[in-house]
Amino acid sequence: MTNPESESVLISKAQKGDKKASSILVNQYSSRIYAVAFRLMQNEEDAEDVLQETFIIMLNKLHMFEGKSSLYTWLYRVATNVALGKLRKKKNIDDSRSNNNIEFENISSLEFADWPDHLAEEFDTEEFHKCLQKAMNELPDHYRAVFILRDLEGHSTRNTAKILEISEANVKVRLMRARLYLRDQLAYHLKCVDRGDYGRQ
Amino acid sequence: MEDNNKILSDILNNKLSEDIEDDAVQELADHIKKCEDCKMDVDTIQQTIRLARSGDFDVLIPPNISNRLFKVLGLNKE
Repeated sequence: MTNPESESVLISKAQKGDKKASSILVNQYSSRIYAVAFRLMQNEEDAEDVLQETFIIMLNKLHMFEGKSSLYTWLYRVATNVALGKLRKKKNIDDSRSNNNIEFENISSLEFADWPDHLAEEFDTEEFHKCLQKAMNELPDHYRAVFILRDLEGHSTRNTAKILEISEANVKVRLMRARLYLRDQLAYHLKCVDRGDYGRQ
Repeated sequence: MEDNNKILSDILNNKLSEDIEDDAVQELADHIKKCEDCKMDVDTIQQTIRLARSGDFDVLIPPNISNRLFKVLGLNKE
């Protein structure tokens, strides 16, 4: 990553319309922005849309960037918002009113089951990874975004809160619910495998 | 799990996120040693995160997508 001084010089030049500086910034961050866009959108085409829209916004609004957060955080925030907006539009549903969210409000940490040790080899199977992927896709977008940013991309709680423009407490609650949901789905899968009725679940 | 353990379970999640202080972690570690339910809770959540990470892959930007980005932005790729 660029050191803060050189990044601020590049931003300053780009704000004045220096195309070379803009190119360097785009080159620097496009891979990471594409990665988060892909994880959120789950396909190349939509991820590319998010990528392009994010950097178009960057070039158009860079003059408003005051450096209160790093450019990286700012771009992540833009990309995440663009992606979540597209996902909402796609589902044509207000995420906050979706049934999924109602279910998620009720997820508690009270119900869980141990994972049988003798099924550990199941973790490497294609079915198991499909089950995990399916469970991740079932997460409401705002929960998936928190899980991706915190547990897959390794952002801190504070940074995730800044990116998603929600409170740190909200990040923790969403992360906990996302983890519990994924854990419980995997536990259910293992239970089905253990009972020998996988495929009927 | 008992009701009063729900709060602890929430705290354990924060432990997994490294969002709590070291002295509190020690207290929890001591508790987990004695509480099978909490140990199972922590173990399975940690396993879930590990599996999600292992199933995740490094997403690399395909060259054609990168090229189109620069074209759309009217920039030369440095």
